[in-house]
Amino acid sequence: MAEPLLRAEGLQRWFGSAGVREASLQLQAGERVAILGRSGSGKSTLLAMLAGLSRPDAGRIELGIDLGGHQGHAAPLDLWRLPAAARCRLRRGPLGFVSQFTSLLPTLSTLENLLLPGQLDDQRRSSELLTDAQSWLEAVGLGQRRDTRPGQLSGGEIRRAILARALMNRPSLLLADEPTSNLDGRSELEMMGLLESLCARSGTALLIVTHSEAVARRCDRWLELEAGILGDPSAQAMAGSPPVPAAVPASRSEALQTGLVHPERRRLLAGALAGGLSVLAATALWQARQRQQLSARHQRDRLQRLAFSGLSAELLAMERTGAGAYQGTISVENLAVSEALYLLPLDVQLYIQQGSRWNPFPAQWRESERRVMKVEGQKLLRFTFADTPAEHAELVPGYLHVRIDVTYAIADRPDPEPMPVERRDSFFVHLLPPEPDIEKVARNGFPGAPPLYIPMPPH
Amino acid sequence: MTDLSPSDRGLSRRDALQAGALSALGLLVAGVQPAAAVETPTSGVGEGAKKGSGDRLAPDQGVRVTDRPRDYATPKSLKVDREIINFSDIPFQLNGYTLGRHIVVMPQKMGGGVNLIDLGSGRALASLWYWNYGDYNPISHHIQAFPSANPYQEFEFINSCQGGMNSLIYGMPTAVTDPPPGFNMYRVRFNGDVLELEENIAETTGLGLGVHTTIRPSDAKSYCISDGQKDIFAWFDRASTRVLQAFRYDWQGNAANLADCWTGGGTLLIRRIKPDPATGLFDLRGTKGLKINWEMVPMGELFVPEGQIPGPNVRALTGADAFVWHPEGRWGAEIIRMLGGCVIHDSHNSMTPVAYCCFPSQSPDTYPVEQVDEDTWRVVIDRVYSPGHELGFTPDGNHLVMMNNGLENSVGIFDSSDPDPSQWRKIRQIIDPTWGKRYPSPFHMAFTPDSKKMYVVVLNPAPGRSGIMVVDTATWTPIKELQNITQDMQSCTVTPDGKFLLVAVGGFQRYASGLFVLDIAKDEPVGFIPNPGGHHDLTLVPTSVEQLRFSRSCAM
Repeated sequence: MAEPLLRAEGLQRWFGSAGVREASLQLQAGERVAILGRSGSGKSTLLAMLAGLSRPDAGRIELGIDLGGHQGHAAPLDLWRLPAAARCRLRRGPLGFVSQFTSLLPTLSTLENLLLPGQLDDQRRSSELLTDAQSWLEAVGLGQRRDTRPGQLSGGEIRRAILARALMNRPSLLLADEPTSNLDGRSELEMMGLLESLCARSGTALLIVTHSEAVARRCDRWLELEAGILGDPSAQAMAGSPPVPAAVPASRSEALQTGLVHPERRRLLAGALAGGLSVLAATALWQARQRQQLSARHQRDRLQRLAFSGLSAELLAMERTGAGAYQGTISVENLAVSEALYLLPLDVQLYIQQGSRWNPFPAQWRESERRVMKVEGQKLLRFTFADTPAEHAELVPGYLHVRIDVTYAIADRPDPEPMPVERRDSFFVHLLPPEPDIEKVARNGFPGAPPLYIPMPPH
Repeated sequence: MTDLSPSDRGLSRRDALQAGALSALGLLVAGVQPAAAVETPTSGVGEGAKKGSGDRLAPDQGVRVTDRPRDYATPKSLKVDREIINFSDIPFQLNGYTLGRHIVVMPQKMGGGVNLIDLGSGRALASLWYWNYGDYNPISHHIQAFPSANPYQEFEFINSCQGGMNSLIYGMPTAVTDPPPGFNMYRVRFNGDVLELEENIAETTGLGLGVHTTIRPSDAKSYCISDGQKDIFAWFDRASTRVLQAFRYDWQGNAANLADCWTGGGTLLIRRIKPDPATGLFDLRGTKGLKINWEMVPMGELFVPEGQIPGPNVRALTGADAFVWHPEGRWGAEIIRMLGGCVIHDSHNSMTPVAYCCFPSQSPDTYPVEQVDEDTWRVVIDRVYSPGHELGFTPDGNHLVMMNNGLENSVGIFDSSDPDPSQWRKIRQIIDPTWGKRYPSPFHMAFTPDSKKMYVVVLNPAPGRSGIMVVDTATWTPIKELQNITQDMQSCTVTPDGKFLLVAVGGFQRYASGLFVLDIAKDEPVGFIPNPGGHHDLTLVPTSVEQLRFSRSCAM
């Protein structure tokens, strides 16, 4: 069998009592592997170690490539023994990385965002880079959006641009951190299809972390990260059973009768005893690990309860803040009176119904909301968006049909142990567009002036 | 000459035989294209046709048309162990609990139908889908089953369905922008094997009402259906489907501005309505008579004064959404959601309104009901402190409970033991410190048959999970709360043996759904029974009239 493209052994990265506890894996060239896990299971931490972004506390990562990305020509590279500059060079070349967050530079056009890594690398001619960038933009369906800045791209388009940028240097291995998060089911599978076809086109191996089973099942194989331990679900049925102790004599007299004095038998018995002790030690270790997992699960359950029964979140208001611009206010409140609740607003995403689909459009938290906050009493979180599309479906005459998805990380302390729990709320409203069709709106028969928005029930 | 198989030629054996027969009869003449020359259409042909050496085309439905080769038959000499399975030998257990032989009927809200679950065997016994009967917008909403000595053999139920724009409030990016009118009420019978749609009550009476459905607990010979978008409740005779009485409620607010239209006080008008004498029918089918375009979902009461619910007659809205019966069967209470109160009607006297009870803590206990003319009554209310959402009598009839949702978020309790409803008095308010402003809020309720415990669903909006609070009715104090169970717990009911609480889990029409079961002796969860469809309501089929006292006919 060929040398693996990636080999990781015994990786650990601790945040207090949580983090990645034990992760070992191998990946062959061109292979597609998914790491599946719930929010807070350590997926992103593991990927950051593999990408050379976060140093493991223990373990080793080897890459079967040289700094130029050539495979199988030299001894494997020990990623975390390389100087920082070399790791940086790897990330610009053979090691592609797709972050779960919007990482495009807002002041550059889509094309410029794609060109930037290549220009920093200074290894390729500008004309070659430009041709490549245009080719990748075409491949991801953004050929017509090359001069558009990220602020004007929809959520789905931003995802595709990030993907094209990661593939610009034809990496041998692409590490993708939740590349389909916040996309609806259909868009998720479309994005995954695109990722697969593009990786196949460039011969790139793919390691993707996701919480979506649908995404994971599309890969060649998938591993599961639970409570910081990476496992292979197909092997779990066997690994779940504790080791069975070896057979030992039923009683002392029986042992004596079997002739302990015989040297050969004594050696055999000593061997059996040593084996038995090993089994006992292994069993003790297994039990300790079970207890550790149980404790981690209890902590996780407590945080889940806090996140889903302790936090109240309501869409309080929508306002117009300028020509075509809106601001929404979400009220969050800690209902778990006796427990501290910390919240970090992660993501806000707008969806507007066009035809019979939810299409993503950008929205942003206000700068002041992007921080960890202790929720005591009521806190207000504000987000903004603009440039709603002219073409949209109208379930209520004259109104846009809008879905707002907001994601928060929730923990019981500001430096969470274990990892925080992620919660996503969806709010549905019918929203008066910037230039409403008065005649259509009037058909609704409002008792007063048409409201700016109509909140849908708490579904 | 190559021996082409019929499939290669696009000619099936039947075609060949037909062609031969026609030819023999001289009917296959020149100029008529022979079947063999016709190009085989590729659409409508399944993948199965392209694989293997089959000599027949497989249609898309997946049914493979083929001759039966001789070796398909099992040889008579083969010994096969043939065993007859009796499903009653494999009773259903949920996490070690046997739930008893009960049938639960659950309307599939967005599925547009209804299904039966047998708790004894764990099977879905039967299902019926109103789409197939020409109702193209059946939001299968509320339900009540008539008693039957042997429900496994036969029983009947009433299922109200909404319609109109109500399907557009669930965040679905649907292409349907002008939904059909709907608002039908169906009488359905289980005949021991299947469900039979017996009658569309809307068609029979000309009334289209889409919300709570309750059966008179004293004799099960009549039933009521209400609708809070139209502010109408009607009392139907079971045998004839005749409307015995019907009432419409209208609000005349004192304040000119919409925001204070209800809180600022006003007059509640109660009018008896009658069918057109010429036709014998009401003219209130479909969306006709709607005051607001969308139903009064939980906390929808607060959207109304904020001007966010459109409709042809918003200011007159009262939210008369449900009629619950006093267990003795004489009195009934029509909830007036926008005003946080209820009108008590007397079924022994043509359903005449006799009292008005008001539940928020700062309101007076009752307001007088004045008769204006033969068919009109009014209640003058000086101020409204909170709307309400759910209403119910204890099975012993001694207490009347209402959830004051929205502004006060409390549970108001009346002593209803006095034979004169105008003398019923408010005795207690339950206000839990965890009940926030709008959420979480006390929601649907159910009582144990002995009236000793009340179960209250505590609702959170998604993705928050709802829970159940247990209240001791001797002192009306909460004794336990199970939190964080699942999203969108809805209506609940207790099994006749008083052993289990069953809660319909709707999952807001998109999250997890099913039936949650709680052990009443321990007040601990038993588990979930899966059932899709986003249920809003459920009914256990009573095996006696007596069991209606603790059904959803008396508490919702």
